[in-house]
Amino acid sequence: MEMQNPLMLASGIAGYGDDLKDVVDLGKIGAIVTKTITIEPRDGNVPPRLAEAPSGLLNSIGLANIGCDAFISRRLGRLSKLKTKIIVSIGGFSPREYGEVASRLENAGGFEAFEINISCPNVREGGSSFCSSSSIAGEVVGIVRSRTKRLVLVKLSPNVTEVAAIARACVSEGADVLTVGNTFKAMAIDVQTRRPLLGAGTGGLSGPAIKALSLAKVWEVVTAVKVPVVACGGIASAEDVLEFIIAGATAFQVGSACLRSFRAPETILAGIREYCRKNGIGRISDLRGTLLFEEVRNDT
Amino acid sequence: MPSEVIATPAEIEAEVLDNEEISEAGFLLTLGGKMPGRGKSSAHAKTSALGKMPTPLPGQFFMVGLPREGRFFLRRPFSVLDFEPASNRLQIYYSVIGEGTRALSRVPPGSRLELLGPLGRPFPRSIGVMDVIIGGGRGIAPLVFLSRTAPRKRKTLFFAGAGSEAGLVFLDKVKAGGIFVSTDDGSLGMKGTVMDLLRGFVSRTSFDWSRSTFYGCGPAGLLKELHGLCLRLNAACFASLEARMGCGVGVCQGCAVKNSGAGYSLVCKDGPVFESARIDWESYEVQR
Repeated sequence: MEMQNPLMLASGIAGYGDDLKDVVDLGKIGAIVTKTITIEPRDGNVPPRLAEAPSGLLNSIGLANIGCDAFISRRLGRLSKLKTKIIVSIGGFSPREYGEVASRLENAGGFEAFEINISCPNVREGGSSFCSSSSIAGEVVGIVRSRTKRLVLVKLSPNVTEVAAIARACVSEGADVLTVGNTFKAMAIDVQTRRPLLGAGTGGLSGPAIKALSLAKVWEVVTAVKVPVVACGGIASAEDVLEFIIAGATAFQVGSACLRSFRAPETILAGIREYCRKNGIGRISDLRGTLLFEEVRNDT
Repeated sequence: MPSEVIATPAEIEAEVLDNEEISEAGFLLTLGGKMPGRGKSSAHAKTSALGKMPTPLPGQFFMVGLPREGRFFLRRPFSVLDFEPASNRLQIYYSVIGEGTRALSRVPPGSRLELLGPLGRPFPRSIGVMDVIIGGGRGIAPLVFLSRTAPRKRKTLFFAGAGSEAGLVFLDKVKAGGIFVSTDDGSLGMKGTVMDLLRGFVSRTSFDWSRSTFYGCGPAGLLKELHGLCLRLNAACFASLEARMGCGVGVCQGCAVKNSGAGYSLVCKDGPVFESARIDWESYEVQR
């Protein structure tokens, strides 16, 4: 998939593709990942769904979405006009559901690629279990792979002991690209009321607070698989992007940074161009995987 | 109903002109807006001509970013108290209720803040013969803006309540046929809540209240009681709600409130002003 630049808007920040057109110049964005689409519409979690954390936020939106059929009939058709590439995020609560959503969307057409969301930690039934088991994750990827000729990205959860193992399973079942990664499971409590700040109890942490954590996960996956890795998690500046590129990422997603300003994507792209110009770098991809480090592995 | 133009929201670099404590924990923030023009990199295509902030309507709000050096991340939503197009000057009244607003209260004049707006659905124009406006605490501020934009011939009654006299802000700016006030501590006006004040007035006044439009803004309890009163009076009722927000433009779905019917509404995009019958008030009270 050719993108005009390596910047993507992460799933959850850009609605169903063109929702941000009033506040973001979508024509300047490399790709947009839609909100995760499930077979049935979902209302989402009990509010409050947001809580601030130092340098970030917790969310437990609960995969609220209009559902596959409404997305196809009311939103998909508007997206082909956009210059940016559209990646549809899909979710489900059984491998069968993932397959069904993939099939319906594949038939509908009008977008570039799928991003399989196996990693949302907010939903009670099934969500967390897909992402934390190599075999289940692989099964989901395999089913989706069998239903589409399009590029398949898989968005991994960082809430696992060894994300490299999940990554390898996804690749062996046909994932073309891996997005590393989703939010970190987190919690906040109101000491006056003694209740969690989120209606659902726990949620996912995102924003600059998780950047260093996400960077380690990207590094782990890049050294484990050969497919391209899209970095996601806490990216807020051009310098952040460079860290992930040097670690080995091919592209990157921006989500929470837009909550501080919807000019963040353009500011980041301008910063990257400026860095390349100042340092005589032709293309940002020249920096990919140029980390100077040899990991010493202890055999135990 | 005449319709007014709802401006497209934009990212605005705002200069703090003043940030003054005017009541206990209540601050008046005055901002000068600046929309970045088309720079050499044409990095800001979604902005208007230099210097013009889009005009907010009463009931709308702005997302205000806290200083970047701090640990705060989310922007905070604040209703508009006043906007002067000629001088491009925006005024917001806010209460210090937590760490973020406390940090905002320390931002000195001359600082820059990142705003997004105007956002949300404004107060709808009323139908019927009279507007009855009810504000509690900081909820008074957007209602002051509303009262000033009503058509000249419109009959308006304005009810305001606060903890004490200091909290009854901007009443000198209100345009209304009658202004009635209450304070919890009795320091000004009737001693009691503004809903007690309103109910008393309604019961003493023979009038066909079903021909009025009620507008409310304030704590959840006030809005819930107002809804109940308007049901009994068979009167139209619009309430302005608050919620923790993420994006402010309806994409993240973080600011959901439960509907009285099925599903949820988004305070930033479907609101913040709602027909009161649409909201599940029990849930909203718990959420707040």
